[in-house]
Amino acid sequence: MGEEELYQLVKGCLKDDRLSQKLLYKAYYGFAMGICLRYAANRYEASEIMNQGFYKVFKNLTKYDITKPFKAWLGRIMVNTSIDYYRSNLKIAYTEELDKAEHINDTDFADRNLNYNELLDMISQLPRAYRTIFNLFAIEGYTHEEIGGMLNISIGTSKSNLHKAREKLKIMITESNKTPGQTNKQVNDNIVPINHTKHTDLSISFVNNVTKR
Amino acid sequence: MKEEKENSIDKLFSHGLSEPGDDNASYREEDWDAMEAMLDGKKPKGVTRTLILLVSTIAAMLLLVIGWLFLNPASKPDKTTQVVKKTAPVQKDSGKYGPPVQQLADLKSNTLSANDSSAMSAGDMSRKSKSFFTLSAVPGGRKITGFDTYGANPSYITKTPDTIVTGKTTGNMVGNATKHDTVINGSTITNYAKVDTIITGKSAVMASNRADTIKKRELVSVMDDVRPNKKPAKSHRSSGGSTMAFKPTLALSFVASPDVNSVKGFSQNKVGTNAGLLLTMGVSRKWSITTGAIYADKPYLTDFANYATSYKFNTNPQSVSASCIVLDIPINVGYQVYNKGVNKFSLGTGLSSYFMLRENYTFNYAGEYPGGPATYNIRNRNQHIMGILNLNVTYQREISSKFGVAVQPYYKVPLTGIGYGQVNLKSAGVAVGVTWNINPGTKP
Repeated sequence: MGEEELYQLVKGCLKDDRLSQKLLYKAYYGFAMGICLRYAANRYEASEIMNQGFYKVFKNLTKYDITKPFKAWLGRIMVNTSIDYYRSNLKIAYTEELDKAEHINDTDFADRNLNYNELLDMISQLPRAYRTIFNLFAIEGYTHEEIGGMLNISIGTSKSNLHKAREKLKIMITESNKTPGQTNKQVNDNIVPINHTKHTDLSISFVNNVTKR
Repeated sequence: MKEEKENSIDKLFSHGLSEPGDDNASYREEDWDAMEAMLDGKKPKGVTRTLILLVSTIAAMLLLVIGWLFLNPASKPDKTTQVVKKTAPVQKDSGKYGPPVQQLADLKSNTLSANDSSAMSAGDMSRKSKSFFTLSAVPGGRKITGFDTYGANPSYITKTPDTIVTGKTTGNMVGNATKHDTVINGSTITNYAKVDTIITGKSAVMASNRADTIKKRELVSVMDDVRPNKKPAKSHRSSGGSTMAFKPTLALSFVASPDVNSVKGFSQNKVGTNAGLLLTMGVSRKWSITTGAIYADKPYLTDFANYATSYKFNTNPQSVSASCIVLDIPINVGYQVYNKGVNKFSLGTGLSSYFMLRENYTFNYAGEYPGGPATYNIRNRNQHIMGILNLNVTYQREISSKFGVAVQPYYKVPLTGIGYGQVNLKSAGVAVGVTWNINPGTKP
């Protein structure tokens, strides 16, 4: 999208023009969804987060500095909305066994030929806390100090959760090499819900982890 | 070394997830619908509030009218009582066919006749039982209990009244009184009605009375009281001296109509459909107020030049096809220009409010590959309060006292731009409807 077109759309959105809003939404849908999918457990959740993010965009468009890249501003809002979503879903607490992670050999994973969907599938299988921290650190590039501040956790918790997230991902990658198509079954089996409910989306409470330690 | 390995996993995901796949991140219309619902979060409530307000107003108006009709029956009862009082002494002068005074006295307790009115005014009685005679002092206008005293004015009498006696019948007089017939007594004496009554007593009693002061008298049964009739109303008027107050009428109509919608002239027409309910209140003999709700589908096609949008199209579309679902709330005033027999003609005008429930626009481009959006759909976005002028002519024909049919050619001219495109959307059509007279109002 050209700058002039973006400028026209933003101008229309500022006037609360629905057509401009829709076109802006459509134009940045893929980009925003790409971010939200990484933080969400599934596509449905991702679209919910994305819409919440766009709602903030439309309502706070007056705060947007037109001289700065729109994509970066939008991306930041999507990440922040994902974090808000994570915070609002902290109530469900789960514990997890990570014994298997200790046995994974350190290998170079960068050259693994995994496509977008496979990677997204793996990341979405992570417990919500691990997924959020892994996203913020590994993909967004935030430091543990920043993550600690964002999620209201200690730096140590952030580090340990990142480590666990990586370990789990390693298991998944290794498993995916062994049995393609059944990447994460074993990993899922490792997650034991406290309340014995069968949720596909499993969150790990930081509080629980701290208590365990 | 370990850190490098960890970095490698970060890199794998960072690079691999930088470009979202087509399957998951491709645009889905339902997501926008959810987004739009979120943006319109307060709008539907607004519409609901408006509708609730409108329905409440109509309900309040109905209550007021009904309350006024039933709790304040104007001056009728007073006049009734007055005449009833006159009838009492007359009965003592029992005429040729009248019952003996003694017999009347014996039967007073269980005889259904005007004599009982001496104890209870006919007005009261009619209100309580709604089954027996009512009486009006208005010449040619209202009902009179009983009969004239025969012989007192013999020129009026051409036929003796009949009496049906059901000697064995016993029971509540009011309950039995629901059975009675009415016959207009001959063509030469139109002001007399013969009343056959079923009397729960030992003998039949002919109730008769005399209204000396009334030169032209009229006896009408209760049955006529519940039946709207225009002809007696006319005779009432012709007899002169009408002092009867007008009662508001109330009618509910179901209307449906096809109409043509056009933005500029009527060169590019599209046919829409309408259906709804209308409530008409007659506020005087000639004037009425109509309101209600009409659900309308208004499609139209217009050149893009007639369509206003703040969005800057890369390539302007040639034309715009629209399909709008509209809730039309009219408030019209009608003036009756003709009323003869069962046919009525009236002229009407007023203002309509359009609640644009759904607006679907399709942009038609000249080229095969459009440089702009193909469609645009919005919901509950625009309301045009009192933004449309209504002009109509109504022909109404009564099928019965309660029901009628109506045909109404109409024309709707917008006073403001309609919908997202702010178009000058005109509609012309012919509505066909069925009318139910909830309260037919003025009676003879």
